Amino acid sequence: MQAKIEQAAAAAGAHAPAGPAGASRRSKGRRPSAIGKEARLGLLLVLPAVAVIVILIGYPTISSIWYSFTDRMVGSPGTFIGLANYTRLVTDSGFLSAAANLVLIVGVSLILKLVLGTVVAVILNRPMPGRNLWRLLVMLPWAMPGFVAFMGLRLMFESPYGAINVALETFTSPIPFLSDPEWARVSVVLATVWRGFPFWAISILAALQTIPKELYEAARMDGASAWQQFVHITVPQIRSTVAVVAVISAIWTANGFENIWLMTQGGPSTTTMTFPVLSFLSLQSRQLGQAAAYAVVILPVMALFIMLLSRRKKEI
Amino acid sequence: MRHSMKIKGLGVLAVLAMLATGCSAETGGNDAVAAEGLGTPSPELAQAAKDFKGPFTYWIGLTFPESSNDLEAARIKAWGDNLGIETEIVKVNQNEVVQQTSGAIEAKSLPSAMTVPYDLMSTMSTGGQLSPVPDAYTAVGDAHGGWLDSIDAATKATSFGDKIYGVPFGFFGNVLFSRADVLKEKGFDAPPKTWDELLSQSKAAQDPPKTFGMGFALSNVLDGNLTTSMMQSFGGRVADDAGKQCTINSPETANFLGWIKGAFDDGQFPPSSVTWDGAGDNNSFTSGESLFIVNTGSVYQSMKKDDPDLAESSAYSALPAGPKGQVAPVDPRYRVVPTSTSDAGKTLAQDLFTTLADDTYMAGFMENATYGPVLKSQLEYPVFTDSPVHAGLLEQAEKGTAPAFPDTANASYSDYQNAFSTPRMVQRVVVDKISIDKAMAEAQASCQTIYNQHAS
Repeated sequence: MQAKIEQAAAAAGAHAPAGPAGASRRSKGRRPSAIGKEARLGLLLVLPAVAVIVILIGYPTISSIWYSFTDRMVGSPGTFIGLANYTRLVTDSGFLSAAANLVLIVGVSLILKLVLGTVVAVILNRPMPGRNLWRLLVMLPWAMPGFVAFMGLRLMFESPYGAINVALETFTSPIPFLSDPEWARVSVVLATVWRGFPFWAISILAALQTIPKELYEAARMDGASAWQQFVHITVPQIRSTVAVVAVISAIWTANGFENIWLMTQGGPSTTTMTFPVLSFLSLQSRQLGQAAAYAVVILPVMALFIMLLSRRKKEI
Repeated sequence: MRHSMKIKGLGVLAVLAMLATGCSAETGGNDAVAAEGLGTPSPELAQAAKDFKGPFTYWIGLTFPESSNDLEAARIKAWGDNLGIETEIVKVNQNEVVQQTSGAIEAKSLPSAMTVPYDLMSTMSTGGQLSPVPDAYTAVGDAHGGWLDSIDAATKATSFGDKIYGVPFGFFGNVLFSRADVLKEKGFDAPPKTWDELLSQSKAAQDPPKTFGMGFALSNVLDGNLTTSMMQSFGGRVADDAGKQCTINSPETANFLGWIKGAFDDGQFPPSSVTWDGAGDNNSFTSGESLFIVNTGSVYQSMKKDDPDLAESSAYSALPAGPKGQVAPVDPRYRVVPTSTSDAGKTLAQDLFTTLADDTYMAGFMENATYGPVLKSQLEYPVFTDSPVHAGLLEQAEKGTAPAFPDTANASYSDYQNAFSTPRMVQRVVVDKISIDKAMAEAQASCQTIYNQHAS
């Protein structure tokens, strides 16, 4: 232990000014002053970035939190009403539905995206003819504008003349994909998964490509089956990537607006309602205070996701 | 190689020339109507044009077909050119005008002038965001034989506090579209006069899942607010006469909800009507899925162009009446000036409103756009006799009900409608299957919240 400390000290000394003059400066305490100068310069350099963050993120966030405690409407300052906007949520069917969907839509979407993304990534990691083309095609749902993707999906899910119902008409009567409460949830989840899984696939594919081939060769020599190789080599190697992707994806899905608005507008009734859609509906009737409350109430959940993400990044 | 380059170059030039010819031919037609009646500006106006800083921005509420919007844009540009000021025209989707205007109010970036629906004029005037324009209103009225009574009454509603905040140029009104050919086969020779008659015809003529009778949106879109008029025709009211206390929770509303739930449960509505977007009902009719829809007339314009047979085999009539009478509100559209516009801009805007009311121009504009008349001179436009939908709008101008009637038109009522409160109440009953009493209680509470906010 002592030796390590000495080594560290020696290393530090290597960077210190040589000779007695340096020692003299240290002894007179002028070194901290130099550090302070550097620190001040550092602070000065990061100041523009901090200012941008404060203006673009801090101000809107704090304003939203403040608005949520007021009855502010468009064009009027509003008055402080305490927790009234929040207490109203307890009996708001839209809020209760949005809270349930936060768990349901985000949870189920994540699981499906994980499974589909991993399977596709594993397939795309294997040698095959036209592999680059396949990789490009897989990215298409994620690369195309959300408006185009979800409007297209909406048309496909329409009943009775949407493409899916037309394809199924010999087997079943029209399925009310968007108008039946249960089917609407399923349709929204499927659309969300379809649009989002390429991000998972490409991220996992990148992680797969960093796994040394020797590990698989050694495992094969030890007689490990393909499944055993996947479970004991692939999964541990991609776990960190999956965790980060999961958190990012959860944040995107929870904040997703276009997938719900373009498919169902939160309906039928409030079946597929989410917080961003609720907030938007309040904005339509110009109730900024209520809209802010819907947006702010989801902040702790987002903060939790971000905390998990930060922790994961540190581990990586 | 050089020859080939030359030929290619000539080809490109030829294409450009053809495009230029095509474009100029089209704009040339518009320009003739757009520049109609523009004379030498008065000294006062010329001074205002000189004092005005920056481009004069105008928000047009988009209507169908696009040629109407182009004509309006050309007219505004011609007016600006005549005064020597730069104009900037922004076309705003009417389904998004509330959100876009709300954003502009908060960002303090409202245009110099704009077109708005009655509801938005109501909320903006209450919020102090509009300047009164009594002189332009009087001038336009006097120059065109006077305003129609229903429009004059709506513009001078007591909620505006004896002030005139906008110059109307047309109104949206709902017309019942019915598949006369299909209904005739079942022995129905005339469109339904009441909602009960409509339900009977729907039951007899529909053939689900191929066709459904009642193609009315029950989703969170503007068309879904038809349910408010339905509810009112059953005797239900949003609020009391003072426009302060919500009165949704009533036996009349319960009666309406019971009626619509019965029709929905009986399969008279296309199942997707609860999640339709703004065009869902229109598409349902044009695709042959629905036998009845209610529309302002844009669907007729589209059918005339894309499916003339369907336009021919459909009937167009007034909205059916409920047990307490017919509620067919006219929804005037206004040209308004925000308070943020400079004094010179306000002078210019009022001149623009006068210019846009020119009969030659408006007759051309209304030929395509499906607006009802607001001025007596407009009653003479050929389109109101030539087109069955416009004829229906003409009838509504004379017999239709005032905006919000029988409720009181004010900012609270507008925001109640903006929140799609009635269709959401209906969805709670027909989709979530909660009791009618509970749905009414919920709607009553959310309505009162909106009304209280305006009271405070």
